[in-house]
Amino acid sequence: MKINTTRFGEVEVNEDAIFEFVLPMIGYEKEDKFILIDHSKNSPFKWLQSVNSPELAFVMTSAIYFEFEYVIDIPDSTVEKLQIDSTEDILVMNIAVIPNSNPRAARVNLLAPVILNTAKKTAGQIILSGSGYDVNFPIFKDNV
Amino acid sequence: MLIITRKNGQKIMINDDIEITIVESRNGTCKVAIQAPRSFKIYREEIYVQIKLANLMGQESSTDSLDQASNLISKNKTSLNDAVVRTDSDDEIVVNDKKPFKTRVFVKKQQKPND
Repeated sequence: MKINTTRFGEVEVNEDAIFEFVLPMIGYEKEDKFILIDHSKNSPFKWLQSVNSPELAFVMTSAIYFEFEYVIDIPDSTVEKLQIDSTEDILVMNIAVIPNSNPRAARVNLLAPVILNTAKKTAGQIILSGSGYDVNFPIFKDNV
Repeated sequence: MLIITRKNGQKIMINDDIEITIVESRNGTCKVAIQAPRSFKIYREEIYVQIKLANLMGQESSTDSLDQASNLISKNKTSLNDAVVRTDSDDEIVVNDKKPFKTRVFVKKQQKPND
């Protein structure tokens, strides 16, 4: 199917590439369908593009790019809602904020990761209350 | 909006399955116990608002700024916080289920071969 996007024009995607957000992005409760778009080869970023709203897209990255171990507990209720059968199906991504004026000030939200079930194509944003993770973690060292 | 006055130890029921108990209230602070099905998401409001704001900012990133940030990383002018790991392969996720009622996920970087 074809998806209209503000940033990438018309994008052709397979139906099975669409993630159903059974736990919506907080503040975007009406947005239930997103796709992941690669930024470019070797880029640590991906776009999470809304299927229904052309202008809505988040920059995503992964904690694999950080030296420390990012350990999260996914609540049972989330496992149920996302129909996670195998832990191998879980993809954990975090939203990055990259200021237009100053990309070096880029930050990533470690407190509220997006959990994607790559097998069932379900997804959701969870808040790791009490984890101590930073909502505005600086990506670049020289801009702490 | 419904406003109800309760004494310490008294409860409020919402539907059949949500029970809110005023555990303790004094000096302008109120300790509340909430019993609800696990599918209900319960947050302190300020955390909810914080995430909502972070999400709002997150969807304002432009393709230009992302290209610049990505270039910063690939040209190695500056490093990712404590890491310079780049990999073509998918994220490796290792999990154990030691904790009851929870799935614990370790998001690990790809092991780089020693060069």
